[in-house]
Amino acid sequence: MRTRIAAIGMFILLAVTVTEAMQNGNDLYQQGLARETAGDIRGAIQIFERIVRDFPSNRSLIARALLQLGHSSDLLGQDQRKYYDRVIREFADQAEAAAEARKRLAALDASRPTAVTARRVNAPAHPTSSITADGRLMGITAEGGDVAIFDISNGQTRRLTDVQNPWRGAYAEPPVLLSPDSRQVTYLWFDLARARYQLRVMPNQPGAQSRILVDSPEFEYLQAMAWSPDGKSILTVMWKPENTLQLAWISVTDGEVRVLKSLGWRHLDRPSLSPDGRYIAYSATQSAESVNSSIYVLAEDGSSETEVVQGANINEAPVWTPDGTRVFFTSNRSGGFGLWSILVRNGKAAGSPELIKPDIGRIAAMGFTSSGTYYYMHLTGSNDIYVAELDPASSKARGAAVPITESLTGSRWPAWSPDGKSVAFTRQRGGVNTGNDLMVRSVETGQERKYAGQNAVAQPMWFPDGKSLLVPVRRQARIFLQHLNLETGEFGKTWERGETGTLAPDGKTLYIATNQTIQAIDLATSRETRVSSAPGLAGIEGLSVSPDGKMLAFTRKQSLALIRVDGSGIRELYTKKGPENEFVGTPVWTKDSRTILFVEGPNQGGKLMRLSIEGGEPAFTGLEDVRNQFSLSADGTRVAFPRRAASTPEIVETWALDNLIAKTR
Amino acid sequence: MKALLLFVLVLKPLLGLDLYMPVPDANPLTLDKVALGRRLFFDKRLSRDGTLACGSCHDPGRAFSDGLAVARGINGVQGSRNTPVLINRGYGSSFFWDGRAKSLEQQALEPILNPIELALTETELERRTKLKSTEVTAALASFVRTIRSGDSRFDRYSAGQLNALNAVEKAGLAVFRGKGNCSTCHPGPNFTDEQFHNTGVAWRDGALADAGAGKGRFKTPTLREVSRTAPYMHDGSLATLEDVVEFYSEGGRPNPNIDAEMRPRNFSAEEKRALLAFLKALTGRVREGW
Repeated sequence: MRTRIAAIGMFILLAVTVTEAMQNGNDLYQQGLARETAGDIRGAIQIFERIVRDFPSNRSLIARALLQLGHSSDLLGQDQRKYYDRVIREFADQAEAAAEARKRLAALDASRPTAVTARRVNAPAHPTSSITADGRLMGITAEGGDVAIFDISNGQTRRLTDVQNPWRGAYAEPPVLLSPDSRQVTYLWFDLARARYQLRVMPNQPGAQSRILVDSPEFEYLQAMAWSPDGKSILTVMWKPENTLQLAWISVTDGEVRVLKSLGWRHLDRPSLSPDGRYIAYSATQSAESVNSSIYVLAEDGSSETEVVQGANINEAPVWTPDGTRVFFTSNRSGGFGLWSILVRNGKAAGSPELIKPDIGRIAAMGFTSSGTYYYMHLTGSNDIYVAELDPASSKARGAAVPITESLTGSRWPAWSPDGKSVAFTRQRGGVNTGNDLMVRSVETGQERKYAGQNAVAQPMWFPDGKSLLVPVRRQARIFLQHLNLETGEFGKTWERGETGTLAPDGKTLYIATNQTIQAIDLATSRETRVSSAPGLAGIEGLSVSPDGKMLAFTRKQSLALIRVDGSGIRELYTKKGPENEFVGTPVWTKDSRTILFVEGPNQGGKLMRLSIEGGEPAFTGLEDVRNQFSLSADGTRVAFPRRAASTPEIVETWALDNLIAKTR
Repeated sequence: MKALLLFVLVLKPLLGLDLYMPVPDANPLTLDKVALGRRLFFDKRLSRDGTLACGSCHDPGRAFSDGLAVARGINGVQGSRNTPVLINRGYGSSFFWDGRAKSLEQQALEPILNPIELALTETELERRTKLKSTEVTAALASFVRTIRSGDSRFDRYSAGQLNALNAVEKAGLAVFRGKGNCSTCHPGPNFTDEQFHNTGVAWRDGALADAGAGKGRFKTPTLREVSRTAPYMHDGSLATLEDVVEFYSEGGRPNPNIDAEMRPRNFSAEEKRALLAFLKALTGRVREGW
């Protein structure tokens, strides 16, 4: 009898409790509605979120609260779809609520704008940057070489490491990639003492301990490209010592390297991993020599590969859509660079490329967020060749520098012809990483001639007759020197040594700096003679022979020194004091072989200085913002140098495109 | 699905090799085909007089080479070129010393029909095997794709086991990539650029003895298992690895069409010894079938 009474009591208590709970839930719901009616939308959202959190057994109530959350979010201009999606996905048994959710989603779809809209995003940018699927966070390297996380929603940067002095120890380099759950970060770490890159991983917490995943002389440089969806592996591009490329998976557990595909000397654009992690889309040049590139889709286990986009044009920057059905890419297949898309099923093309947005220009794709916004870096900066007049006696600037070229792509590495009538320089081809043509421009007529066929990568050197050039060209990721006949346009004899070099005034001897040695190469016989070899000759970055052919000036980081061409009389001429990231640039001799001009300051542009070989302190010529690639005319009256065009002050900008996927058929 | 299963489970690559191996859509790898290909590879009925099989010249015990300067066909008839090594050919893009075959399927039939090699006719091949010739070549190509060499000490060094190479071998690697410039033509996991070069081997007495792929150019062979595949070069004219190193130290044999990359390297005795030691460290595990 007692037991029965106790049971009845318990039942009544339970019923009261449940009823009270239901009552409280329903009361809360009513309170939420009241708040919303009163205009306190955020307050209403808090109440509906509490219902969803605290009344898990009351499915009807939660479904209705989710609908209200959608409505309130709409009022705030926030994403409402996720609430309706959840009702349909998790509360299909609540027929009335599910039907309402479908109705509202259909209405949203009907009203969805179809025009693609572009907006600039206030975020630090690097061509290898990426963004988390929620569109909120970017892994970056902060000034000073720290690993950091940038929050797009509030513009805040959170440093994870504390690099004290990047110029003495080690520092982080991009890309910095957040794991799918944003709990870990992988990044590149450069150890200055050993001149070695490491791939590291660390928790996404300031001051947390990092782990080395890859640290090997066999991988000279590497870039993490994507995390596998399970966060256990990192898709990485690795550079071997001979400059060949490999696409590989790195185990986050133990750093084991599984090479997926070796690409030799072909150029590889940043790969994109499909959302389900099964396929990798990447762009690669069709051969080591070609500038044309195709889009390939490679199975993550290497079991298959298909060339999904090909053609005699540049196809690059592939990224998967959030649903994994399409690959977006940029291509110049219709002229200018546009944004295209192709349907991909089971790793194979399932249609023809479709133009989504013409004239997107030169970009580096960051990828889609899960809501379908496409992020990319817009490479807006380009260098033009500027010319400034100098007083030949004092090298003082006689006025402001003026541009002599105007192009959408970058111009660099000017070199005056011996007669001072022409400037040879390199000009980047359209697209990203497509190489440079050699150009020769008459400064009198403005007429330009293009010498295509080789990828010119550094300052050309004029032979004394002014009819031919010695051009540093890149082939198979190595630099050669090649003879160019300016009349016929033919690239001819090749010399293997492409290190820092300078051509003697007689045009017969090339001086090069390599390791701890300066060598003289007889261009006719390719015979090499050692000029000098000493530890003090290590790390030479700039080398220049004097017009009288007797002396060599060379620079290393912050110092400038001289040596006779017979290897004697080495002497330090000048050492710059100041920030360690500022350097003394390649020396250039004046006509009398008594004075040297050089750029002093940061890499992106410094002051043009003049220094007597007798020593003393350098004098400022009055020219600023000069890059370390300048050329002095033989008579000493004009200096040519590349400078970023005033109309394009930014090099890289972050942009986002909305409503893009709706454009696909 | 079966083909995929085979690739993932059976063709799990050896250390140092790519996970991806190109396989034509028209001839996917299957267990049955690889097994058939293996039987055919060692089947002497594929030669007219029943004395030779593919495996007679491509001896598994010699890393799928034959130890002879030039290949020897039925009745002891000598060919003019060295038997190419068959390891890691699944990663290749052109075949024969002159690259005249663009696929393993295309390559597989030629030695069978060549009158100075196995010397069968296509009709006879089909009669003896009771298979279409395309089925024979598909099976042989599938089997050859499974012949791989990897997991050498160099591969272990490359994977991060830095003591897998000793100091002399590391010095040899430095010569290979630096002064020797060997890696220009022997790059990547398979130590070949799959291209054609004139090193002067075919230049004899002021004339080309063999034009190869044109102007005396021949395909760069893999260097994997190189210490087991003497003699060397397309004509087997260099008996030992030491001879090969000496040949390149001297800059090959000058001729009007010699590659721009070829020039005297003037290796010291120490450099030669180091380079040889490194080349020997490219011997690994050879695996065929599954």
